[in-house]
Amino acid sequence: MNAREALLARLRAQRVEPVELPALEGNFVRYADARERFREALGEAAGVVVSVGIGSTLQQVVAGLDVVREARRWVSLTPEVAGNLEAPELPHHFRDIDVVVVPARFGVAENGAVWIDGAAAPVRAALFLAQHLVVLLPQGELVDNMHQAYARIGSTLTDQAFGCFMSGPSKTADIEQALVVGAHGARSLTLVEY
Amino acid sequence: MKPFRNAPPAEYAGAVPELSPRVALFVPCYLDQLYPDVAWACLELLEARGLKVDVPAQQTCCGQPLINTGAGHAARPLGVRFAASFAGFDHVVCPSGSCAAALRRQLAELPSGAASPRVFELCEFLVDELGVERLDVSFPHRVALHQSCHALRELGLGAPSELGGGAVARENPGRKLLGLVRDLTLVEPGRSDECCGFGGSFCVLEPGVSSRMGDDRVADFEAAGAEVVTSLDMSCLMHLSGLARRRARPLGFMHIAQVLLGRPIGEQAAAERRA
Amino acid sequence: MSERLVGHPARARLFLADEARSRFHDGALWEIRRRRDRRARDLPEWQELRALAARIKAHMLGRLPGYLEQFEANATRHGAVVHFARDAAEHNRIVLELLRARRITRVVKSKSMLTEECGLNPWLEQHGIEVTDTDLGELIVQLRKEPPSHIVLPAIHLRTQDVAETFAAELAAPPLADPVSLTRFAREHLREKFLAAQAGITGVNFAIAETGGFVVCTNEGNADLGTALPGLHIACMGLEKLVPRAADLGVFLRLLARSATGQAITVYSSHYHGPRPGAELHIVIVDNGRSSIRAEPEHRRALACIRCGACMNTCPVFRRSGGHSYGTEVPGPIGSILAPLRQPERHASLPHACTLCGSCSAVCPVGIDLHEQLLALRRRQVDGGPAASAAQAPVATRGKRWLVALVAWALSSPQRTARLGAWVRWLGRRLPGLLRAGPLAAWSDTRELPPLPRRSFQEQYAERRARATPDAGAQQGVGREEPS
Repeated sequence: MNAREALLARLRAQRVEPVELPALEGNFVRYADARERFREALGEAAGVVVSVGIGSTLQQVVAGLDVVREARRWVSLTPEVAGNLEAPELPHHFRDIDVVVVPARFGVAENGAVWIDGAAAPVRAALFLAQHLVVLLPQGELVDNMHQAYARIGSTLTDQAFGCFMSGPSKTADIEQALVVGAHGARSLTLVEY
Repeated sequence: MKPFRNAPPAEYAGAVPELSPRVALFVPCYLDQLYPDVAWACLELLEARGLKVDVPAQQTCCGQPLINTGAGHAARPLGVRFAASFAGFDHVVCPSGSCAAALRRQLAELPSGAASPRVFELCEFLVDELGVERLDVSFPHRVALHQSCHALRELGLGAPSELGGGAVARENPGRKLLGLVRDLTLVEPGRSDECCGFGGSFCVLEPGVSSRMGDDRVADFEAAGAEVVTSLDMSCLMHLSGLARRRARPLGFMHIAQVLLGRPIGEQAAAERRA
Repeated sequence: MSERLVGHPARARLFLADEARSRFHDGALWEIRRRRDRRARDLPEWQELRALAARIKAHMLGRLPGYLEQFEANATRHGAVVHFARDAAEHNRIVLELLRARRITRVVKSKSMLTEECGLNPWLEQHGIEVTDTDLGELIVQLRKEPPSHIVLPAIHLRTQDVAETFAAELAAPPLADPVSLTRFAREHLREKFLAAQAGITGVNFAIAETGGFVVCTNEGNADLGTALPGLHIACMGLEKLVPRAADLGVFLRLLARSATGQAITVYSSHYHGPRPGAELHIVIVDNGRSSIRAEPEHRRALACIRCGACMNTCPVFRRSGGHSYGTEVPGPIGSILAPLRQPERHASLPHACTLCGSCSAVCPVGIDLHEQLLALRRRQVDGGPAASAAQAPVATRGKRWLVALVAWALSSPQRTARLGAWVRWLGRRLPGLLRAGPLAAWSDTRELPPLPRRSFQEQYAERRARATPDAGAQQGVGREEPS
């Protein structure tokens, strides 16, 4: 008997009292002002939020961001914005990219996270090798909590090999509990609401 | 038998003894041997409210030292003895949160059948059953309440600091009673309910950690400006007092029953110094 | 006391000897515990979430074989290859074979307590494979050749200058004095490792039976870099990491980071379903004693643990003794349950490294009654375990058993207790040195003795009892002796 058969047989031979799988119902948190809560939560996670105001275009706002103006190489993963380079096709080639612009599907108010899936970032290394990330979020694409988030993702979860809830730039407090923003992933995350 | 919710006025207490709920005092073994005044104070508090309180002579230990060391089976005879010694009483009052918790567990382990008495920690009994709203006593000192772990988390006598949203907790009855004492100032330590480090056999099995835990509590109470540290459990205070005296810290340690009677703060300290 | 109880207490004493460091450790973890409190209080549904999480895990454990098969089938459909390992050795062999077959010699690894449990790193290194731990805390302890001291904060026992010294000695770093520059240095160092890696090994926070996918949660982005670049991703998971439905993740992801660090969510919660296009994904599912724990009704719920570390942050003993005192890769309250279940004799001191304060149970997001389980393990040491368990012989020494019998005998009769108590007090008053010697030195080394009154309460009360008449009312204050 191989390990798999042995394990399954062993488990099946055990008497374990069955417990019913609970329905996922409850008074889960809702926000009167989801947008406000989202901005607050993303701020707590060291993310920056910027809006496209009347009279500006998305391209203008993105190109005008400090991280983009200071970038030597920046790419966009969406046709809505143009970088100064075409996005590389190979993962390792993102090593020299300063800024990656990526679209998010929606945000989660309770924790400031955005859902970015494989369709938005086919080469997922783009999300982690770039020095800085600019995330685009359409106005109003917010849910209150994670339960709503998973309901919204639904069956598209398995359409892609990868999907990520991302909340702010990478960080660590592993050295004496001092918070350092910018660990191995992006050093900053700017969310542009448009 | 009707419970105590509205205690009979003092002048009627004892007049018709057979119709009043029967109350007995459980005396934890270490209080009996080392802190007899705490047991007297408990008795005084109850009798001052007009209760007739028995102290069964055949009682011994609640069994906690054996239970907590893993010898629960050896503690079972003690549970049986407890039930037998206190049979016929409606309420058992115990001036110790950890012993009250252990007694409840012991009763729960016994075969059901005979009616068991209800076991209460002292402050719980005074507030919940006797509905105490007034104390005619003064204790003009700064007091910190050490929230003992069993009283807080097992008996639920207060709101633990770990509690998240949606949980319901009651006010600590000891805190409520201290609030009724004239001239008493309650001071709050930085960590409201961290364990003192006594833990029964833990204090000698892990003396290093135990002492550091206790020293940290003592420093916290001192920094909060306390003159006296009180608690529902004398075992915690025994450990904290031992540490404080070794370091010559100027804190007094008194069981809450002693504070609620306004005992002089020097008395307990003098007794300890003579030890 | 028992020889075997030397374990945790002796190591704790070493930790406490460095007063500054041990106080820092306690303060840092207490602060993290307080952050958790604030998050927990912010959510009115916090208790509900805990209850849901507990039931979801209990249900999953009840139907584990079915869910394992479902997970395997779905993962395979997505193009992953699923392996099963009976124990640590088999897990290590499987991982080594995967690497050898592809002639891989450079591996990056993100945090996985399971791989610590299996001793994977030394095994791979023995076979000529370079493994770099990429979580910053894990990198630091790896360079120092010591184990992590906390499952979420591996280097919490270290100060900034320790890290600076280590980087200078092991990575030829220039003298750097602060966390920011040290982190930047590590970033550059690890960036090269990620780019050059031929395989990435990760743990698994949650595996979804319904979809065949799994989730990895980090703050640093190291797991993602380790799997976005090399052509092989090996994900190692204990068999208890399953959840039935994707929607269940809503509950667990809301609880995990809040409990662990007081964040609403980790920076990255990455969901994997099958390999990257053109790459490979292998999942290794490990038993290593978990199925034995599942067989025990009393301890099965310890398998619900989601490795958040909240119990460690709140435990007053852990904070003052440090993770290395426990001698096991997962320390603290949960580790003091899991390790003795696997090796009762080796870890006999762990269930006693606890005051039964109950704070751990109060913070556990999946509702494990940790302190009750520790008490049950103490019982097991005296009574022996069930016939099917790993080791059924009682671990408690003959000396302890003798002491228990003596105490039980003494306490069983009020007359005996009274006589013994009177005798001890009398002796203590005459020969004070006696009560400070031998085993009681453990008390007196740091504490003054309690008072030794001339008469016990019962002795004093006996007089009043003798004077009392049947129809008298309350006799107030009669018989109280001035303390002496």
